[in-house]
Amino acid sequence: MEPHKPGDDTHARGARNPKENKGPSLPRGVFSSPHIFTGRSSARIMWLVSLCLLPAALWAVWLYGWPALRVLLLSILSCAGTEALLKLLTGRENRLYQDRPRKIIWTLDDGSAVLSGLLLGMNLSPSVAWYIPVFGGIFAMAVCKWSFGGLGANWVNPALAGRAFLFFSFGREMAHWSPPHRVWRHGGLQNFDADTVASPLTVFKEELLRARSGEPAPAPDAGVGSALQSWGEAMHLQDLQDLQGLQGGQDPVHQGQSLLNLLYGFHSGSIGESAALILLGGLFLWALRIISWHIPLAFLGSFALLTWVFGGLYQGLGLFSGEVLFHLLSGGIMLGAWFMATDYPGCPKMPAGKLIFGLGCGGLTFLIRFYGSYPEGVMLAILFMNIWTPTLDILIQPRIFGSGRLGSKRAGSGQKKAVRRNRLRLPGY
Amino acid sequence: MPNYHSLLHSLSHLKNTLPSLAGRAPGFTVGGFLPPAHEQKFHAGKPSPIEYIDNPAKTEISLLQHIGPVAKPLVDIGEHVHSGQLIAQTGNMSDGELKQNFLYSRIHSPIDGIVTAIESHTLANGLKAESIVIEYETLPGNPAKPAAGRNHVSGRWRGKGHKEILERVAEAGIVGMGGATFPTDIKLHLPINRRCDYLLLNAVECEPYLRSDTGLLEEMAFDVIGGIDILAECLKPKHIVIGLEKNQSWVLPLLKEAIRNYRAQLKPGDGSRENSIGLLPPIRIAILRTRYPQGAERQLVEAVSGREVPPGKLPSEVGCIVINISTGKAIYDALERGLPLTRRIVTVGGGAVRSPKVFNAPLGTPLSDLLDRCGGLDKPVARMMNGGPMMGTSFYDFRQFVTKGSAGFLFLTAEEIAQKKERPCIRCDACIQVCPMGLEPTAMYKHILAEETDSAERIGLMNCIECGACASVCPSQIPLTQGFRMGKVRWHLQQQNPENSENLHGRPEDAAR
Repeated sequence: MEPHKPGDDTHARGARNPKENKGPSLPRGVFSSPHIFTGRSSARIMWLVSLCLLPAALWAVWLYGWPALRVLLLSILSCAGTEALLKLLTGRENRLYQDRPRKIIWTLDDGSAVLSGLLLGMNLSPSVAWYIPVFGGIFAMAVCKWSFGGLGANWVNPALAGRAFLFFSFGREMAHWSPPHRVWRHGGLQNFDADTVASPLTVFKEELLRARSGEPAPAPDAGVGSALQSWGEAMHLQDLQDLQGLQGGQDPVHQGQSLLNLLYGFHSGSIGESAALILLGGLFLWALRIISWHIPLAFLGSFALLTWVFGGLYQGLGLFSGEVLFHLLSGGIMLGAWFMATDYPGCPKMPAGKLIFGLGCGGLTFLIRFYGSYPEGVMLAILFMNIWTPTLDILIQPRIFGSGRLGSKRAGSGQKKAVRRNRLRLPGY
Repeated sequence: MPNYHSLLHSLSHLKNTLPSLAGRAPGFTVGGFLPPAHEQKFHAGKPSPIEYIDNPAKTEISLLQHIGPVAKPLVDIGEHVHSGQLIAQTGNMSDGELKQNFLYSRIHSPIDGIVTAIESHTLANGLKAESIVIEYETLPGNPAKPAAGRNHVSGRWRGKGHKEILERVAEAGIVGMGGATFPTDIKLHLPINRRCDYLLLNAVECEPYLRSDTGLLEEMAFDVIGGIDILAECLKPKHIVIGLEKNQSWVLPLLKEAIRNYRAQLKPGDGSRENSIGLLPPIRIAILRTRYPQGAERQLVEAVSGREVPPGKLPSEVGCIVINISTGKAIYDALERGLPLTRRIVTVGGGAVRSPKVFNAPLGTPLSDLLDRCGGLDKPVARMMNGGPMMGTSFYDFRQFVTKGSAGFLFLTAEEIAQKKERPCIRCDACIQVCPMGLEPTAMYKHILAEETDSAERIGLMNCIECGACASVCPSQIPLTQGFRMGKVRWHLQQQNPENSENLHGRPEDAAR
């Protein structure tokens, strides 16, 4: 009999020699139930996540031009190449089937390396040097994924850890943002040709630090402006004449323009910061039942609530005056909430655990953005909560059906009588 | 630690109420999923009549058609047997032996004929047992068959009492026909100080492809109601509920009509049936959500009564008795018509069968006979199995026969199976979400793979009902259910020989080869 490899088509094993086959072939072996499968595969899930990211990636290439494509391709190639190299070096051994010839089982087709590369690239500025995505990819695959056991065994999202590595290793390059080719200005899409402009969150952070330290604003009598307005000024989104008239007040038209720029990603920042398309991709992920709603909702919801309640304090505006939309649409919070925090190995298994995980991510992002020293807090918040995932998994476990208490594992423990819920009320015939 | 357990638990009660407010059919609340091919069960569309197989030329009656020890033949080679004759039983039924070994059963001849051989035979579930081969032959001194009065009830079991009814059930060799083949009379023994609140008739066919129970309700709903009447006489339940799934709901009018007809039979004025007026309590019919495993015993109990059976206990612990409707029909045959269990409804289906059919076949009918009547196979078969595709046992030996527990024989093509390449676990939690027992399949499997059977048992391995939901949804196609079977065997071996536990090497994958 032909040896049965784990990945073989089930039919191939049972097929008879076609020469002696008269009628339909019959299987020659027994199989354990179940005998039908839903057709899901982990490779399909990985490629679908990549597909959901693709619109935002293509949009960024249009926005930032070829540098963005270069960064994305370099990081994908780096991740895939590292994975292939590691397989070449380590993948020969076949632990479960020792009597069979050893051969390399390539894992590039499962799509996880490409997905990590794509995610890493979308976390980088389009103007970084070529070696930054390459180093990031190698670190993500070799250290964060393979040293912990490969696919599914990593405790942290490799792309996010790769970005953290780059963030602390190449601090200056990573904080250098190149502006997009186009922006929304004067009610229309216009070419934009500034050399370098700070990202919205950097502008906000400077404003915040200035307000905290009590330094006077550069323009006399300007006071502490809103983050949206200061960023609009930094991006020259408003005309000078308008600015003269705007002293102290806020113009809804320009505010709307700035928000649209944020929503569509017309600002300097990472490649994956066009909030609208990331949000769309995330909703697709949820509709395809690849992710559950718990983490994105808890993450974005808690962050929005905290920002709304406490976000205006630094301006001296009191409670319930934070700029929720500015903070939800700027930076990597959308990418983080939909694609990074929901990474399977790094998040808790039970819905309650996922909600706590999301709440922690949102709260920490708020703390870092408003009280920390970095402009962006999403990455560190998710990495910090990844550390808590095993603990949350131990604390929150499914209740065995029939046992009285959640988490009780033994028959009859903590239980006097059977659990009773509402019974069906049915008509009698 | 704050008592958030009870808070979450009380919230989970809402899961039972909210869906029904939203118009969704009720069902069990933990886990479950919509199985693949549920919409292409061939019974979902038009009803096809059950084909009655009268007397096959040859039958082969296995001596192991029930849980418990193998039965001993009471007939010799060359002996003439008549239909309904007792041909094998477990032990010699002396009182002492019964007490020691209470799982016994009787086997009767389904046809008239001659015993031509008693030979060894591998059953579909992989066990080896002897079987009695009977070739059909009309006998001159054949006692006249009792005319099976259709849709007529004599009520001769009335007032017989619990014990006598159970004796008759045991004499007829009735076992649970849902697949577990547990002797029914033992199941009907209630624990002391425990009364039956719910009598649940399980007609839920949550396994795709199968339509034996649905077919039975289509054609013989009257007999099923009769069986319910006998069971009600025996158990005196507070509620009687027939469980159906939503995609079987087209048999509901037939069922209601059968209940009406049956009640019409219970007329006053007839001396023998005087005390039978109004004795049949109201029968309720629950149309449950199409969701696998709705037909599993514990899940059905919870869906209907809201009670959860504690781990390691039987449903009678919470006052529920679950009986398959085929078993109910067999009980009616035994008490009303005096017929032992010699027939059952069998589905022959799957994508490789030319025209799938449902048969009313004598026990021991060869599978080849059934397949011939279906027009044979017209596509390459990737798997053959006895039972449904989720829990059935696959076999490779084509020499199979209808047994008391075989609800169907399926022949699936590779496309229907849709098995993909096995990959590492990506911790997507799909298995945790679908597990109807609230277990963590992925964690248990990792423990079993690491030969830590104790740890696997600690997180609930022995509660696994092997429904196969986790392995079916696993995107990495990890053989989870297979691993749990392996782990359970290892656990039992360890319990028997604790000093030998370190010798129990071998992984679930090794067992598959």
